[in-house]
Amino acid sequence: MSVADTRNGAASRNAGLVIGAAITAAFVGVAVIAQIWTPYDPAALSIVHKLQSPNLHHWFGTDQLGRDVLSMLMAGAKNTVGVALLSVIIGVFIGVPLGLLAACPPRGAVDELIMRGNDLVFGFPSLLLAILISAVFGPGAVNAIIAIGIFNIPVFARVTRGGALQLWTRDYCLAAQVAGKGPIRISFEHILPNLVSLLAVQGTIQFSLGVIAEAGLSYVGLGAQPPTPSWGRMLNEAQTLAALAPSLALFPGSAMLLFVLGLNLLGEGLRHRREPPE
Amino acid sequence: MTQPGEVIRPSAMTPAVRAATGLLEIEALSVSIGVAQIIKNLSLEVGAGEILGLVGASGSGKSMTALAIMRLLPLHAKLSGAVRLRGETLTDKTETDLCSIRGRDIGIVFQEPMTALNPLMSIGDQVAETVRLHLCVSVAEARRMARETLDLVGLRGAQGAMDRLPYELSGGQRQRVAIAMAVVLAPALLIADEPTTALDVRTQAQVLRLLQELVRTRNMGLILVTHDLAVVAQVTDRIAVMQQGEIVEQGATQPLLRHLQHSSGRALLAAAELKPKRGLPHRQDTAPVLQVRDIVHEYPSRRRSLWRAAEPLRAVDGVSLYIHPGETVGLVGESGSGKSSLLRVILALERPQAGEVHLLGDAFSSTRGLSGASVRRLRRHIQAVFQDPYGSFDPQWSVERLIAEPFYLLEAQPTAAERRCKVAAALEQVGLSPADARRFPHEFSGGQRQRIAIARALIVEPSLIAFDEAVSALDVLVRAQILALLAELAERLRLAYLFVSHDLNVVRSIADRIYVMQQGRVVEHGPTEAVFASPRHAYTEALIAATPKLG
Amino acid sequence: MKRESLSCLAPSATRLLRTLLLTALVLTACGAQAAERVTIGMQLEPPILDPTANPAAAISEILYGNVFEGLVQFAADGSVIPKLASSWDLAADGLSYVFHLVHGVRFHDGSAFDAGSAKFSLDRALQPGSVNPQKSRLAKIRAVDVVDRFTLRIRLGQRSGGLLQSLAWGAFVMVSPQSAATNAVQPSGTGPFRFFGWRRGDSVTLVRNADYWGKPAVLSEATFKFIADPTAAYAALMAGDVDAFSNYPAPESFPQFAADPRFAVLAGTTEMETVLALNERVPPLGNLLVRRAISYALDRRAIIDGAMFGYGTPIGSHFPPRNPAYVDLTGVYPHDVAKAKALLAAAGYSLGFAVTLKLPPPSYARRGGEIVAAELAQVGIRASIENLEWAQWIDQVFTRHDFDMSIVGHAEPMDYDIYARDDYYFGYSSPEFKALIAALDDTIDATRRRDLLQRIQRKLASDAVNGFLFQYPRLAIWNAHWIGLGFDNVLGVVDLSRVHDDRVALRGAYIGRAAAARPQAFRFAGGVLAALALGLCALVTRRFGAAYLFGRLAVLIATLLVATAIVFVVVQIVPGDPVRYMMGLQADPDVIAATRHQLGLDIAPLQRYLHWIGGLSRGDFGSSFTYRIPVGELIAERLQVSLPLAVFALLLSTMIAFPVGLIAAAGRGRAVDRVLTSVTQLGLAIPNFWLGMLLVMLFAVGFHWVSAGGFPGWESGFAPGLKALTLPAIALAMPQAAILARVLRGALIDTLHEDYIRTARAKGAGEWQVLWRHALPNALIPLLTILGMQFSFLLAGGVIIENVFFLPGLGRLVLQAIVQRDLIVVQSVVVMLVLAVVMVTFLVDLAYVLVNPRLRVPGGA
Repeated sequence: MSVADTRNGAASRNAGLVIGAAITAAFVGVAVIAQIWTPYDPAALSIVHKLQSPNLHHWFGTDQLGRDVLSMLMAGAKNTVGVALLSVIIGVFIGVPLGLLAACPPRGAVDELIMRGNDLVFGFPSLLLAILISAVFGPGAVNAIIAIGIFNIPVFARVTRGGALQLWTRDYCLAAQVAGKGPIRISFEHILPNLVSLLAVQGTIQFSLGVIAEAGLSYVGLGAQPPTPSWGRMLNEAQTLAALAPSLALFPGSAMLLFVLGLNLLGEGLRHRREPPE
Repeated sequence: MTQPGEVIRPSAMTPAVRAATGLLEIEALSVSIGVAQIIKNLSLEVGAGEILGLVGASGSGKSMTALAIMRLLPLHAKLSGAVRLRGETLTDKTETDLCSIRGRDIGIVFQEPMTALNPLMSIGDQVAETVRLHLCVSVAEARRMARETLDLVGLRGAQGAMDRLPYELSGGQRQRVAIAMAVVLAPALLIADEPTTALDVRTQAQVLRLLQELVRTRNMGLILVTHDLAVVAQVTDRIAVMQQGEIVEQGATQPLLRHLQHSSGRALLAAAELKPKRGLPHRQDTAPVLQVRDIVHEYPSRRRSLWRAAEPLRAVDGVSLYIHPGETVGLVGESGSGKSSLLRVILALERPQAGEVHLLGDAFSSTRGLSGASVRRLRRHIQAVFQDPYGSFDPQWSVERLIAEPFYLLEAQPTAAERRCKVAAALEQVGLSPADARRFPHEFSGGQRQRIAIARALIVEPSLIAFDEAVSALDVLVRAQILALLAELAERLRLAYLFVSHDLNVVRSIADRIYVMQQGRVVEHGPTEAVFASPRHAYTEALIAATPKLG
Repeated sequence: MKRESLSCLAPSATRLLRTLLLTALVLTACGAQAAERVTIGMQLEPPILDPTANPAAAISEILYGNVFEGLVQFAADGSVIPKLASSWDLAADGLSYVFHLVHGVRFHDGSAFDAGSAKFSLDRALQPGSVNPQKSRLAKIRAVDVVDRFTLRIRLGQRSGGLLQSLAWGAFVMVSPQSAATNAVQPSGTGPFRFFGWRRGDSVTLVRNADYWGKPAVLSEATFKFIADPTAAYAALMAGDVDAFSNYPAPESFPQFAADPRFAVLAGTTEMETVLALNERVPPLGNLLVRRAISYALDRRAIIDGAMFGYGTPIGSHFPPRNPAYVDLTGVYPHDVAKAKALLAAAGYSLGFAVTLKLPPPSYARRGGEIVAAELAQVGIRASIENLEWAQWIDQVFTRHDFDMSIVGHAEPMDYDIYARDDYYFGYSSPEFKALIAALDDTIDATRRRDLLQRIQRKLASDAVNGFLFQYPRLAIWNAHWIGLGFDNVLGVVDLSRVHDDRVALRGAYIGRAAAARPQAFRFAGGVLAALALGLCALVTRRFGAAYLFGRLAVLIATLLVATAIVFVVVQIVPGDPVRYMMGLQADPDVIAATRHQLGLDIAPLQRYLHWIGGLSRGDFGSSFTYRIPVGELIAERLQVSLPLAVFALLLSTMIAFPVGLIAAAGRGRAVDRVLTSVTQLGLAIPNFWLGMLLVMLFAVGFHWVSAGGFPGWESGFAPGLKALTLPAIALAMPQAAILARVLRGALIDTLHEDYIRTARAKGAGEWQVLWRHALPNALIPLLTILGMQFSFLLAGGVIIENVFFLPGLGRLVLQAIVQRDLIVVQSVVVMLVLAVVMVTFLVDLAYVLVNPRLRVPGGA
């Protein structure tokens, strides 16, 4: 029974990939559009129009200060996508070279040092350290990026190292060595290109974790600061209004759910494309 | 209470039916997965106490036939035709019924002993599990039967052998456990799917002998699935040759071997019968291209005590060898004998703890770090071809780029046009077309890939090419072709080869001289035919004796 | 039950049965004696419980009038009435007061209250090393004399018209010489309630003082529960976790309570003036025209509507409207954009200018800030908002004056004198105003005082010192059954003396709560863990030798050392002075210096680090800056919530994940697998805090099945404790379960592709037998790592969940400690969590090595 699920499974996974990519593209698209246009100015207050339920003028209603929820969600998407993406980029740009370096033969002190450093960062309760970083440098989007990005570094370092170690056992690395190439050159010529899809999968996972982490930080008030809208802060503000205007809590929460779901489906789909069933 | 050794018969079967037919009858069996027809209209019979060899090149459908008998096919495989065991039609049974037949009436042993056992379960429990799945006996009784069967397959061993875990056993021992699991309930039929392919020759001989004994003492039917005609020739009563899902030849072993008609069978036969090399002895007075002196290579092992440094594992222990220009030298030994470690030192991929390697008279690999420039300058004179034709190429690189990779060693990099030209020439030399340069490795078969690997080794015009089990992963037919190509290239380009392999037949067919390694040391060396004709060392003798021969 | 029937049960079963019976009995008993206890929600937790040593308003809110009493007290209108002093005489020259004290008063510690203890209380506040936050208010006192046992004389150096008012403040309550030193954690006063207990991060409990000198209280017990988050406050009231909220922080939902017959509400006022503070040192704001322009630009009504949902009274100067001396000056600067622009143009800023608007955490400031920024933008002033924690606010705005504008409420009564202080944070300096304040302090005649107060108000308005926004409302909400809760008074304290529940016949007897034994379960769990760890170590030593274990331990210790260094350094650069934060806005510099010394903050960082590490190695985490108790105790207290929560969540997630993973793997590729996989996909995507919110909305607010949050403490029984942890555990467990189930499914399917599975099938094992006996044990190995990681994550990762459910756990302790700059708590908790994570990882690694036979061969891969 070595072939588990082929046709049906593959089809549904392919559908997952398409749906995931579509959702992700939609959110990223909204974030880009929000850069230049939102239905209303997301920061514009209008106390007389506060707490409207969804209607023709305000499709998702207005919040307690009369701001347009749809516009805030769009601008919030911009913020969320930005923070999550940049924190992934931090992780990739620092973590991947570290992982490649750690996997370079002959592995010894460098590998040990990098992996112990990794363990150290992993050992820190991530959210607490993120909170601490935000407390030290002041809350704000940039510091949220740093705080989340720091934890992406060991993740990418570990994944890269694991993948690289596997590739280093391949004979083509041996052949490249016989061709006189040094470990660093081989890392960049042979190892890294073959890790791209693995890293893409991990990237989507970290992206989705970044979305949740950013929302969490903003929720406790350590993410993007007002008037920059962010989903986490919208959720926080909506909590006391749960009875008056439940939609205020439902919209940002659902947006987050949908976005993360899309990213996960995308990651899953990418992973299965990478490792087709036997 | 059933005694081990007593044949347990399915109650539904009457003696009358059994007498009328053979033990196993396969009638018009077909298996397809999707649109691919794996087995076509196959009919076969096995009698009690008979050993049937099911032979074929890889992909001929022989393993799938074995699985089809057990109905252990992949989920989406479709099966038609009939399989009857003692007259009872297995192909009509439900999955639940089959569960009670598998392991009790039919046992099976698979190829890979390293992965065929559950790593978390003691071997005693794994053998006893077969008993407990089919008989309502106490744990103690099941373990008693398991112990007796383990004794039977030659795992008497020390006290507590029952409680050992698979990782504590060697490959041969594990294969014995697998056999014990398959025969503990004395099934009427045993299927052995390439049971010795992953084993060393000596172990292979022992396992084959064990299987033969079991068949004789228990009057069992045995289907021995293998690609190796030499193995089949030694142990089977009858042979069925498969090709592309069909049986093309069938008959009693010896006559069949003598009168193999069909091309596939003939090719199999030819490939199995590699002719020993008959060349002119090389002149030994020129300076050797490679000189290896007293190499010691150790791997650190884990410290067990805080105060005492751990004894390192000595993989290579004072090995010396030399190769003259144009000479092919074979290095043989079982897995773990240190061949690969030695090769890594020779290729200057690892630094030895003692000794030196000289290439064309200059120090190439030694305990001291040599200057990068001089090693690099020398490197172009020694190239290598590795075992795995699939892992040898970066899947993202084009063939041209792959073959041209060693150009990195040249001081003067060729221009793009020169490069293309040289790659085309190298491809032609190994029997591929220059147009293949634009393709990617996944578009080629295993044999073609090994040709690409050879082209890559040739591109910088080296003096010596090292082959690390370079034909072991290939099908017998392809293997013969590649060996022929190598012989031709050596002659034409006056190349020296260092040919590392565990397969004596292969080495015998290509090497002028051989070195035999055991536990890190060279125990014997000399001209190939001299060594084969009169081995001086007991180990060499055992190796040669255990190697299966046709006829 | 007959002896025989019991004996056939296993001994453990008998024990279990007995425990269950006992539990049931205890629970019934608890149910019978409800009521007469009130639980009051408060937004802020007091840092300590001594009002004479710390200015935090929360201290007085709980204790003033209930536990502590002063010589005099404020009436509702701000006038001064007798308390422990039944009457007083003022000498004709205004330089000496004689107080006649009430007879027969005893402190809770048993000692008697007399002129001696009154003199002690005042002298203690006045002495040079005193940390009394309002010390300067009594600066004119020259001496305090005991005339006779119940007569006290205060002699003044100069006349002080505000002396009586000052004595009514919480900072000058009467304390007993015997117990004054321990008031910070064990307050002992003369009031109708005694201090009973303080569950840090959660609540303070008072019980009735049966020997009260006045009319004893009806209520037997009162608990003040601290709920900072407006949402949690809302949920707690709705779910009935608290009976009342004295200062409800979410005005948006106030009307909802007002309309609900179950609740009684009060929308009163407080002494807190909310102002847009302007830094006069900054050039444009030093200009009177600009400040007036700002005042014209402010639309107070919109601010009150937007930030306070309509609650709050507009003010035109720094003075509470309910005071008899109040003049309405809101008309001085009506909202007039054109006029504001004209004034700006006249001041030379026709193009406007840019400023920073630094906002402290309360919602009035944050929300108000957004509106103010929008209003200023209309007249061309571009304000960029910067949100600060309180500690940062005190550091940057209050201490270093590094700001342009800020919004803040000034809560102290009669605090107009801050405008006369030199170098106060907004930098207003006016000789005329100082003269007015001096004259006021020199005046005793009521009419003249009133006249002076009105001139003070007018002066502040005409100078437009700050943008005066609104008088902060007091929004109190309580369960309508509670009669007599007093909220509306000058100091904003909660008066419990006349409270009772109309549902319960008045019972005189005080039903004491037995002090619960500290749960042994934790010590037991700790023991089991330690035994487990030791066992693992022993096994590993046997198999791999001591060198391997010591090597691993050395790495572990090195990791921890590096971690402590990192945490220490990070914590050192956190901006904000903990002492500033602790001592409040009006603390005197010498007081601050004294406190710094007391806390050991004046020594070099390296020395402090070594000291801390030394302590850690002995298991001594140091002493909390704010709570003044050992950090170890604080952590142990919080672990009682965090640890069971983590274990509970882990169990839940495992219990959900295993069946799901197994079923999905067994039915791989089929519909059941696809459905389960989709569900786990959804579980992965739900942020746990949002799930928590939804669960609260549904099960606590909607169905009333469980409380919306909070933690009753294990001493109130296992079942209530477990119940309180259920929703948070579910919220935490769901995403974890989804991860676990997916990993399990993946590992199982990977294992099912292994050769030995085929071998097992060939033996005749069926689908489930193969899955259960062969696939699962092998799939568990990779799962072990995930489980270890999840436990660490759950232990530390509940910060947000703990906030959603206001659980007094470790995460909230850290969050609070960061806000309060309680550095030592922050660094200790983080290091402890790192220790936990590293230890768990270490143990999991050992277990992994032991379980996985492939790793057992030395040197094996």
